[in-house]
Amino acid sequence: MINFQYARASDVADAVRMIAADPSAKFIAGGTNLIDLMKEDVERPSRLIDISRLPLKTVEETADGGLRIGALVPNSDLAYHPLVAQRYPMLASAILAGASQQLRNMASTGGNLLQRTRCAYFYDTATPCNKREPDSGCSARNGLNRMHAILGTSESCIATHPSDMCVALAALDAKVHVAGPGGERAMAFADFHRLPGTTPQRDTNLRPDEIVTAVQLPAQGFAKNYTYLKIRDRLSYAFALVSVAAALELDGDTIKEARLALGGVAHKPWRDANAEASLRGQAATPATFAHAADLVLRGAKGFAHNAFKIDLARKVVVRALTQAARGTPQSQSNKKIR
Amino acid sequence: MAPYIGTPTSRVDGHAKVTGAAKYAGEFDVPGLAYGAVVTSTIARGRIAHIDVSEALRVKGVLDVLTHENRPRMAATGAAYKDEVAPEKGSPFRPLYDDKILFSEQPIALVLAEEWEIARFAAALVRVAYKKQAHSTDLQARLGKAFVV
Repeated sequence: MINFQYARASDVADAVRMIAADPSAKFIAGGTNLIDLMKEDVERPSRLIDISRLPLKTVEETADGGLRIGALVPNSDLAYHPLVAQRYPMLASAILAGASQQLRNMASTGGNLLQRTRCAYFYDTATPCNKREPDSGCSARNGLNRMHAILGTSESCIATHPSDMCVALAALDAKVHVAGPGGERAMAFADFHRLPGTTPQRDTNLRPDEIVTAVQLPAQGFAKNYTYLKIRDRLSYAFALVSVAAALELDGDTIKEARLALGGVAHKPWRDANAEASLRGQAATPATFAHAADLVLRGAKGFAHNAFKIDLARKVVVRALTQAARGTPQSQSNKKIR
Repeated sequence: MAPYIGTPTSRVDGHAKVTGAAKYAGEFDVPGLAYGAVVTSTIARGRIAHIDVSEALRVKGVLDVLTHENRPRMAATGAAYKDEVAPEKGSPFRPLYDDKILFSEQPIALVLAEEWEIARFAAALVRVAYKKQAHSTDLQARLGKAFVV
């Protein structure tokens, strides 16, 4: 671990000033990912700006019936917040599918969005990695790539975004509020994370001098017909091979509105507008679900060890939509998949 | 002994461990203790061509950096390291013995410092150049070379 300076921000404006003044500084909140990366010498910040005491820890109802979640709300508090549990159970379920109780207690909402890939080559400073060191090469393309992406990959990078929470936030059409030297702005969740392209070192469209202040949910929470189904190599404390957040609004058997987001398959939570459109107005049947799954995966491309994910993802999409339509969401405590 | 078998029994250190009050061995503070951080090989097979510890030695609070080039004298024969359960053939691993790399993450330097954090920081400053050789990790493919008891 490389030595660093430590400073505490007194308010959001102070935090923005401090990060703008030092391009090699990093914000620290829960530290559940950043400290790991510093121990491995992957992240080498000159200075840590502690934002953990900033007043961004509340969950508030918005005028339009939605919810504004402060960037420093711990993952555990968010999962068990009564309004989240009642109105956005898919978000609660996704959070509880990830990490461990101890990590969720420490990890913040904003930090969850900004966590980095768990690609083993990204972590291993002895190997080339375009995300860690631009233009050094990608070790995963021809290396061990069982955990890697099948959608939206590039020559430069086939890493996945590891979050469960973000998959649900993507499906729910959340917004990300950020503050910078020029004031505040909001981004659609789909625009927050990036595909790798030729610049995989950039995970998100957050500018270097900006801070995430809140995540906002719209009114529609799909509390009746939803699921978060996560498939992994072991039943707990493992990253997803494939996960699916599925949410439906039904009128009898007819699908009025549909959301589908996939985790573990791309550099960002993966949504496909055509697949969602194919569900709207259709009967909630296995054939409808299978067609949507085919649309999501039509551009999928496997590598030496992860081609199995394409067929797996197709099945998980169908199962997740079935769970959502039946109103029998996947339990994150009894993990038997039904 | 008999009453304990089949009877749920609280661990004597259970409360301390779940509350975080229990200490790891490394958390006991002993006056005058030196702290070590190990530098490990980033290749799986080959030789150390050059190991540069000068930057690490310049860190205030670093006492010494041991490598195969300056380690204390150690027994030269493998027999001196053998224990009763070691396999009959092969050679026991002797840390910092020479420049040979036999496995990935093999210890190749030990940084000694007045504080653990200083040792860990200085360990990140040790620069190593290797002469890399091809390694083999496929057990099936190497079955013919297996040591048979």
